[in-house]
Amino acid sequence: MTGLLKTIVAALFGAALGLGATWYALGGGVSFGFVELGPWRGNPRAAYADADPYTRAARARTGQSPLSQAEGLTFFASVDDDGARLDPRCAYTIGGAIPAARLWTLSSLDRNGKPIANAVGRNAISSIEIVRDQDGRFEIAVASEARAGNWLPIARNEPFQLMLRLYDATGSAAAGVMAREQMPAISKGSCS
Amino acid sequence: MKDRDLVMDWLPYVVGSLVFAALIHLASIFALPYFSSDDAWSRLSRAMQPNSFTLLERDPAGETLLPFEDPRTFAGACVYDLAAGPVRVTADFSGEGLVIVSFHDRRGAAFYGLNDRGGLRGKLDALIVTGAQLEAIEGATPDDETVQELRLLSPTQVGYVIARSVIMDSSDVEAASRRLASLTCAQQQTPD
Repeated sequence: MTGLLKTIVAALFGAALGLGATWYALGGGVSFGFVELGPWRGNPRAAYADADPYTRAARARTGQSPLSQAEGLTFFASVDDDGARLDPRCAYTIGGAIPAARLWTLSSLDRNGKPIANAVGRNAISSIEIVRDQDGRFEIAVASEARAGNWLPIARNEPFQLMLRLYDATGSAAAGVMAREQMPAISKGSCS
Repeated sequence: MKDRDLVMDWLPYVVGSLVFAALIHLASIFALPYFSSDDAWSRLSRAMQPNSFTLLERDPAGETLLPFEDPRTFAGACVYDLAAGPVRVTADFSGEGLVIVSFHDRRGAAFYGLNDRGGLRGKLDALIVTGAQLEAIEGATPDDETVQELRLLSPTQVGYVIARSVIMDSSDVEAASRRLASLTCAQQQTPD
């Protein structure tokens, strides 16, 4: 093969590899600005000009408009406490601590950020409507079948992720500096 | 020795190809925000007239205009264009409930954000300006005059303002939508 032909082959291969890496990185949520707290991932700078280049590219590609810090903080979870991918055929219990905020919501979204459609037409629960025990603790059941108490519906066979929004977060959460213990646990229950 | 010759022959091309792949990858990540036709600003500007506040349709179980939005919120936006003068954004936060507002440039980067407790005496009166407009306004007003409005310098000539109202519980749906009714967005005259 001549040198020119080799150069063309190398350039085409390189371009394909580079664009493939971009496609893979944006689809897989590669980012350097994440705060990782157990299964929860959030980027307090996601809305800003100084967010890392991967976050800015993902923002442009998906069309999302993340919250500014005065508005609140957003965390996503697509795995449980053991690191296993959230499975719509299983039930999960979310509970324990939650960072200080004026109001928070927990919602179920698909991979592309669209709310999960289900039979009951509900895909979010807020801190206002949560039923707590005498000590102020709460547990939320995430399941496709109806549960008594705090229930966040999902849809069977519809892969999902969880989004936790802390509106008007206060204390250490406002600065995005938090410890794992401040975030709720996600434990897997029975699967069917 | 033939295999070795083949390797030595191709090695520079393989290395060159990988270097080229890395360059293409980084260039595409950095360039994406400038070429995306599906980012938040593009989506919003396709859906509404510029310089007026428009409520977004809320479909908690379906396709939303912007992805990764909280299904428990109502949202409204104003796509602004400062070409013909500054744009004034006002809001009345005197009611109960959580309202958040943020100002974003053409690339979706937030340059200001606040919640309903951040206004001045329960009100927001903000003027979005370009650098030249800010100079004109400051030149036209006496130095000892107290400025009542919040002047926000937009990094780009166009951008958007997005306001969201969180639904507290199932009895709050209508009230939450009404909380965005006080928002206005209007083009102002540039002072001579």
